[in-house]
Amino acid sequence: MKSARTFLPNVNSIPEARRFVLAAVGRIAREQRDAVSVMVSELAMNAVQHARTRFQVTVDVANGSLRVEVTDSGAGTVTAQPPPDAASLRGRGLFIVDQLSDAWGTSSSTGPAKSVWFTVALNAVNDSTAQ
Amino acid sequence: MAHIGPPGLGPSGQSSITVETRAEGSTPVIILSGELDLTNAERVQSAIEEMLTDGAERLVVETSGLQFMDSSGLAVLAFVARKVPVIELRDPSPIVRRLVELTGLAQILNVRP
Repeated sequence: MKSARTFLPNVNSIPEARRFVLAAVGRIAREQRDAVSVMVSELAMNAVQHARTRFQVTVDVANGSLRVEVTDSGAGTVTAQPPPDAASLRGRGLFIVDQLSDAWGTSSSTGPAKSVWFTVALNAVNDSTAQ
Repeated sequence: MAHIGPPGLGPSGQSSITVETRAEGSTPVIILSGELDLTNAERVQSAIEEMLTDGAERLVVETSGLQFMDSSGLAVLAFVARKVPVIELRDPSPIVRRLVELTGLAQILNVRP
């Protein structure tokens, strides 16, 4: 099942993107829901703060795996970041995605568009942990 | 008590968070409830700053009601950690604890339990 939505380059799009992804994913174990929420928030934040363009969020659930991709129209490239300093206020977003996802990556096409995606293998939902 | 954002979450609104304070002896306790993200991080930081007394040696940040936090919340905690020598992060959810640990913030915060 695949769904997509486009969001405005506005901070309020960050919680909207989280809710969109969680609604698209459906029932999911709480621990995974929390991790996915954080990763979506980080990627949406990158789009809003750095690209400052509309961005599209694509959610693909297939064969027990979740793939989320965030595409903006900003210039520049995405690079993997080293672990942040404890006292540093910046540079945590992609590091967090790297740590919480099973895999992540970037792609760019001709023209001003770049995507960051991550995948997570979904655990079987247990009624006591599903939300 | 400072309530930031509308009650509940509107489809196009900012995230809702409540910042409350109380004291345990001379130690201020900040209680965060709701969702902390870029829509409200700046105001949460200001609210905490206003609640801090000059020369506070210790601060407790109670997070059992914090349903969501991303790196903008980590930035708030890192900022506050520069103002107060000892910060205890109390009752973080598993994901908040994980974020604090994997980003190295746990080295400068006292996480309990």
